[in-house]
Amino acid sequence: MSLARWGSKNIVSSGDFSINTLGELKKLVREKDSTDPLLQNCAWIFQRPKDLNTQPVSFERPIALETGRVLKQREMQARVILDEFKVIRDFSGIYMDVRYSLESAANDKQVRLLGGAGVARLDLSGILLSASASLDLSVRAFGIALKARMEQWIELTKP
Amino acid sequence: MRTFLFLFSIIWLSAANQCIVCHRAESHYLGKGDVLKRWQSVALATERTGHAWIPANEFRRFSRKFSAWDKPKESFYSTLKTKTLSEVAEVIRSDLEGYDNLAKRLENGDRSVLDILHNPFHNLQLPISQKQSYRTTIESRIQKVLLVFGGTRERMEGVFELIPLDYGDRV
Repeated sequence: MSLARWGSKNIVSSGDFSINTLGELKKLVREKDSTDPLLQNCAWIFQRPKDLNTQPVSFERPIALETGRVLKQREMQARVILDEFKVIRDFSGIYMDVRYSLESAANDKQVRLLGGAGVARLDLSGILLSASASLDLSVRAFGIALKARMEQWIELTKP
Repeated sequence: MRTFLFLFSIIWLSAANQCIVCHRAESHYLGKGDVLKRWQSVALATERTGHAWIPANEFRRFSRKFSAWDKPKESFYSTLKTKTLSEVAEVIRSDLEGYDNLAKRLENGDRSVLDILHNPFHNLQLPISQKQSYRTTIESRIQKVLLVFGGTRERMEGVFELIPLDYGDRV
């Protein structure tokens, strides 16, 4: 994977990751040791939990945060619960919906996870078609707790 | 007045029980076959559209046939349980496009493909030499302090490609 990035911060970052056919993340290389949350979260989203079956599965997953003037913490460890697999067939083909919720965060020095949820859609080959996730956070800054929300979307543009 | 009410009730009942226009055209302004497929929701359709539907059996008496009444095709997932591997491979080739790699493995007797079909989240089956292009966006919003100070909203976007590699990390 290489990532071209644009936005208000005008940062260009790149890197690559490798995932084997079992969905295990084998390599994550960030250019100039950047901690770009776009790159990291994409790698972690593509990474699949081991021994997955159709029962509810929970696993620990890092989540990279977009840091700034207020938010200083770069990363948090969250517990993800995959609560539903639904195989769907419609006019566009067969795909699988995977719903997950984020239950807790392990390290909460500045940031506390209030909740989170997401959904991913995969085709029969296991290829990610789209994914979205949102996090509700409580951020400690200026001596008070501020509410924050982070969302990330990924969509397949050219199969 | 009584005659008028009688005539009105006949017209109303007649309208509530048939809409030959929609059935004959096999279409509706909501979309071809869309409302016909849901002819059971007579009251709802009447309320929304002013049209009402004759139950399908009534039309069958006159040998009228509409595609909306065709039996749904056999579910792909029910075929996985009842058919042999080669039959499932045949269904994949006829029903799905772009899954030749899975069909080929089934024809070679690889039963693990059935697990993949049941749960594609379990195993990636990227077609070799096929790139997947993605677009991603991250957005963060932080609340203002006392509704005035601070507060940020940032949105960043990126594009990336997923490229299948072989065991030697070659494309």
